[in-house]
Amino acid sequence: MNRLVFLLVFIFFLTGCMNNYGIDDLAMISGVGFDVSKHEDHHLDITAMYQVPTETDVFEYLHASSNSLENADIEMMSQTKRQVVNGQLRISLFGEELAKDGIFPIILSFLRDPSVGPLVSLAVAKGTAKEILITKLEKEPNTGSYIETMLERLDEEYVYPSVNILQFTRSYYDDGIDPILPMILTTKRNILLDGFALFKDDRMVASLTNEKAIYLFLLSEDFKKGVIDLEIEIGGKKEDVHLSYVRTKHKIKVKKENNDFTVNFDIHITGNLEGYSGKQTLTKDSVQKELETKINNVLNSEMKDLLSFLQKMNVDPVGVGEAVRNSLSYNEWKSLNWEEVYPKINFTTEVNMKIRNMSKFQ
Amino acid sequence: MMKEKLHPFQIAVLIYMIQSGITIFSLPRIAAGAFGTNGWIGVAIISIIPMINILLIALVFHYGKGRSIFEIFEDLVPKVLLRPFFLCLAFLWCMLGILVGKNFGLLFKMLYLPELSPTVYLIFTLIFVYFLVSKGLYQIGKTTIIFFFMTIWSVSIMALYIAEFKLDRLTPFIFKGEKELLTQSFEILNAFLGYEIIILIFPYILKSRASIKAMFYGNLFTTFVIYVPICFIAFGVLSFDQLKNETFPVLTLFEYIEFPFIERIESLIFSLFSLKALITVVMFYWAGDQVFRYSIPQIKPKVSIVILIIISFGISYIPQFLLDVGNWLKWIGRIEAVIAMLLPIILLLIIGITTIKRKRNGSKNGEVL
Repeated sequence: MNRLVFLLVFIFFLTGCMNNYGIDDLAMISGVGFDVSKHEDHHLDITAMYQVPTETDVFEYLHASSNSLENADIEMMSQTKRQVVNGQLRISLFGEELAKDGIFPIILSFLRDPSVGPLVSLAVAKGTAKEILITKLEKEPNTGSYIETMLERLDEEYVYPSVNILQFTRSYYDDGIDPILPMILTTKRNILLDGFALFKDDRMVASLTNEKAIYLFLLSEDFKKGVIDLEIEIGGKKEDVHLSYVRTKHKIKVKKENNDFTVNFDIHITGNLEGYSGKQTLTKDSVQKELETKINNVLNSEMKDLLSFLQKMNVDPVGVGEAVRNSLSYNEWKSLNWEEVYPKINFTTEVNMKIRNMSKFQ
Repeated sequence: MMKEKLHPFQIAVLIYMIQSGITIFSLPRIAAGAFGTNGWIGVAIISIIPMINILLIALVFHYGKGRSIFEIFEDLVPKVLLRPFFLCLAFLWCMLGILVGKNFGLLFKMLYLPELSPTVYLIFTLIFVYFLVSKGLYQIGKTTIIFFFMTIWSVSIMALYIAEFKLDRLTPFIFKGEKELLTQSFEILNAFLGYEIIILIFPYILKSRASIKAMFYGNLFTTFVIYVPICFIAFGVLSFDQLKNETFPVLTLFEYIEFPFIERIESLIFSLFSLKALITVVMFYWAGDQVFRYSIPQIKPKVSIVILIIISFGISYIPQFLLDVGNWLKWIGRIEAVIAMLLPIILLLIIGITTIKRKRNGSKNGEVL
């Protein structure tokens, strides 16, 4: 009896041999790009890239025009002899024009597809996504994986965050913060991070340059690694300051007086002064104090500029809404018309920068 | 013959393993739907219901002096009435068992193996059920311990979310926003269901304080080591409306983990969870088998489980898709929740009535003597 059951069990194991996929037969998409279609009856132009599994560093591209990601499947399948699978997707790029129209329908397709995980990086392409994906870099032919690694490295080593599906969706659904995405630019020979796109819901409404974006992250995050480059004025002369290994801590305080909100940012920064183009001797206490005050002033005014820019565009990537929400009762928050309140908020910033140590050569 | 008894640790683990099934993958969403913001606190509140229920069962165990529920019932109710009642229970439990198995199979198909036939998965499960149930509860207890240690480590992965966790996201609002308290909290209760089967294990445990305590510890473990922390993390990592839209927020959290040496670890964890679902299925079949054999005493032990498996397997073909199975599970789960509550109450009443009767008889006899 037992032997018979044993045999039966093993016959069932054979069902595992029914469908087999050789890795050579798969077109594993590593990067995908979406642009506004030039076709009249379609909305999206989709470009997908995959590595030819039988060869090293040979990549093929699939192109399709359709109204959604799902509908593009058949068109893509008919362009390759391999089976198209999304399980290895690393990055998804959105053309700038499309990003301005709204990208959530595409994100929703990703969220619904069980083979696409929440870790896929997202980015906005300056120009079109197709341009970037088909850029052939000499140093790294796998463009999709290159962009993803670049963004992740920047996230780990600097202050620029990479944004994945889960993070974008989270900010999209949160009523107290608006999403951002990194922007990517191709210069035929290289692919670069070129600022950050600011979203209202799922539509891109503004962008920040790399330099300005640092102030955004100083306002919204605590970080342990990073560099800040500043230009300060000492004795009428402009000097460059380079701070490394920057550590920051920030606190947001909300005050409410008769429907007027005052939001105060208290930011503590420490960093190594590695580069300084001025002539003063850095070891002097007075010089250090002066530098710190100058840096504080520059940071304060830059952050104020940024905040009023964000208010003007009515986007809140900092998460001021979260802080305001958490300072109110549920009914107060729900009865608040945040869209109208946000541009009128009075922001104050208190930056407290301390130079941890000077460069190792005077 | 001296029967081997279950160790208190085994009892606690058994309760945890029957309780926690696949509902855990959607639990944070259900909690958000039922209680609104900070719904994870609601999970702890709901856990009071199984706690009271286990207290009642413990009272039955105590006042019934460790006798099986059949013996207690027989004190007052004639066997002719008991048999059809237990026959119904047998089918209810077996249906619950097979539907839990089928549900898991269909989820497997949806998420990871789109070409898997759920029938194949179900047949594997049922072969396993046959082997374990025919070996008896003590062997099931031992298997449970092994499966427990095979799966419990996955909870520690939750600690990796510290980087993504933000207290601000929890919001200071307690139980605000749209909510469907009544319907959804029934589903939360479903996540705890399964513990009621321990009412049948009285003959297999030592009559001691430790055994009773173990029942509570099992439920406490499920609540405060598994359910509440996982929900808490989910509420702090995902934004509230995102959470409400994620069908399986906990799977999404698992998907979010990336190790340098392994990717998509959630498929591994999901497969491991099949072991937990397996224990739930086995225990429901075991319970069904126990009451089935009571209602038809002529039947041979190993034949009874085969009959139950075949019948329930046949019926399990009626609900074909995930939605149907979910609906069936919802309704059978509700019936089960009522039975879980009523059964110990009825038993306590019977014990009360029979003790009063005995005392009266005793005093009458006393008068005569």
